Amino acid sequence: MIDSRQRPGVDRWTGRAYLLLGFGGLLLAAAVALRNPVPVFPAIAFLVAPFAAAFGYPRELHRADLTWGELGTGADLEVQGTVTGQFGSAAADLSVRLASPPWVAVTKPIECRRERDRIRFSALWRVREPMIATMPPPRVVWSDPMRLCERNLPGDRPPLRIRRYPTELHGLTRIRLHRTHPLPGETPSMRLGTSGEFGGLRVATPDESIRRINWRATARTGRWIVNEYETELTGDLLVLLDRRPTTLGRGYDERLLRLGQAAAYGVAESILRGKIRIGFASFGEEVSGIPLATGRLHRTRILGAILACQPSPRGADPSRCTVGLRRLYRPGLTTLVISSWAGDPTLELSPYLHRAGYPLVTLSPSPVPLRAGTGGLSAAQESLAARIETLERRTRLATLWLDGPVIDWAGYWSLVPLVRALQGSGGRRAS
Amino acid sequence: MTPNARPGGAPAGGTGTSIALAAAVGALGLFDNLPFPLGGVLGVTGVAVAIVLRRNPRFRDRLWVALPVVFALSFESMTAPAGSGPELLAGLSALALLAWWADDGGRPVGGVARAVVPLAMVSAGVGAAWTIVLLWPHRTSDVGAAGVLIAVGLVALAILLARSRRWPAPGPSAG
Repeated sequence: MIDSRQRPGVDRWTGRAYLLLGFGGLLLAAAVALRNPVPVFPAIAFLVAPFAAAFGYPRELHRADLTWGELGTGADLEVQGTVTGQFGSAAADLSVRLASPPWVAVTKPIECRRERDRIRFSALWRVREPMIATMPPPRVVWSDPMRLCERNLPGDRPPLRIRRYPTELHGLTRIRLHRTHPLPGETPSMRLGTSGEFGGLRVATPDESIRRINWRATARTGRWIVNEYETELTGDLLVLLDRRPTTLGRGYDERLLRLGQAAAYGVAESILRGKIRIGFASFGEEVSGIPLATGRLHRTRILGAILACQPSPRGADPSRCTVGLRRLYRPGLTTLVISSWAGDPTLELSPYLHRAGYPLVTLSPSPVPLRAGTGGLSAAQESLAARIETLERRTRLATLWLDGPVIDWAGYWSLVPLVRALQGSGGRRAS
Repeated sequence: MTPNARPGGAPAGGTGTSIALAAAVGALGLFDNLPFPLGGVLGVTGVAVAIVLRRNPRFRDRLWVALPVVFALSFESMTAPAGSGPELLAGLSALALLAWWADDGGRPVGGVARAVVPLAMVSAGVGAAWTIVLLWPHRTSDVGAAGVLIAVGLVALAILLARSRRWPAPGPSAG
């Protein structure tokens, strides 16, 4: 795909060119006014140079394609890529312009290594807090050696998905969650399928997916053996992201939502790796959700839905969330609620969801670290304010423990308490 | 493989062109109407300030880094008396400034060599103007107007050339 900014034929003068043209005009005017021919000579050079520089555009430059990716774990983010094309000697005048996003701190600015047919580049950043985002592709720009004019090169340059969340979430593949039967005494279904709790082994049919083969059992018996799962005994999980505005303001709401998106995606990716069904819903003014499913396609669908979440301009009553959720998901489904709980206390979701029959685990990204150092206070006052804010927040979150475990997420690069809470909530219930 | 910047800390490129620029602007300053060493000192100081600013990686790409030398050059050319020497030096100073820009230590080596085509075009313009002025019978009266006409003609020619096939349409895109 070609970015609209990389349309062919877009060229522009730099500030230097305008400087030269301006001073060239001034010198010509001065020459006429002073009746002195000397200023004419630098004026001629100044006026001709920008156009002469544009004349030097190399014919062999047509396009520049990009392949790039991200490396590193946790807060360290290294972006590496290669721009390919037939550059020839013009490679020296090409530059890769990669703007650092506002959510990173630059550790090492972009470095390029140029060859005749490719430019390798790398940049090292430090991500301020967990997030998932889509980075626009860098521009590849030819500029003349005097830097008087520039031209964007078109080419295939896909955007880059950046995914950064606490590494502990990888351990979520091993947990067992609540099964979906909400009511005691309900007869469990024996329906078998491709996901859920392990239910047994059987001989494979010819059209069996290779992903379901149980290799140990196959080796043991000498026949193709596949796993079977009890679909109704899944450890299904619903992730509910609260997008409603808080009293903190839109700036903080966006950052808290970004944190919530990162956690939601980290949980979803890890759960899906364990072949457990997962659903995703977000609540602003209305509930929008993706039904329970598993598989690679579902991972893409969930990522798209999480990335599409924006802070809602208006909040809605939590009862509306409950109604919407019950339309999409059966009660009894283990639900991870991600909300900052910094808004109006009467609008809290947990009591409503709990009463509707959803077992809850609550993850609350704390705004306290985000607000630190923004009040113009001294270090001692800042520390005191943070302590008071933390205490106030704990008092508020304590009431939510009635509805389920609550994780106050203040250390953004660790989610051990969430993993523990989810692991503790699981286990197949005795019927 | 060409590195993005020259190895080492601060960019070390542009020594030759810096000396040439300082020499040209300084020599032009010696011709102007200011007391004897003042013009030369002014020119060299302007160049020195620009060089020092450009060696600092924080300011290297800033537009205003070139302002001291452009100001010095403009001022000296306006205060210099009419004559073939100052005229030639003024043109050479402007060329030296362009070459100094091309020889930026923050970019791959060989900038002046790559900029030889545009520099040659500018040199041709300055050289033609100087030759015409040298052969002009009334040097101090009509030369300014003649210079304007030359400059306008050269700019128009450059525009026509720049819009010609030297700016080709890119090849087929795979978008």
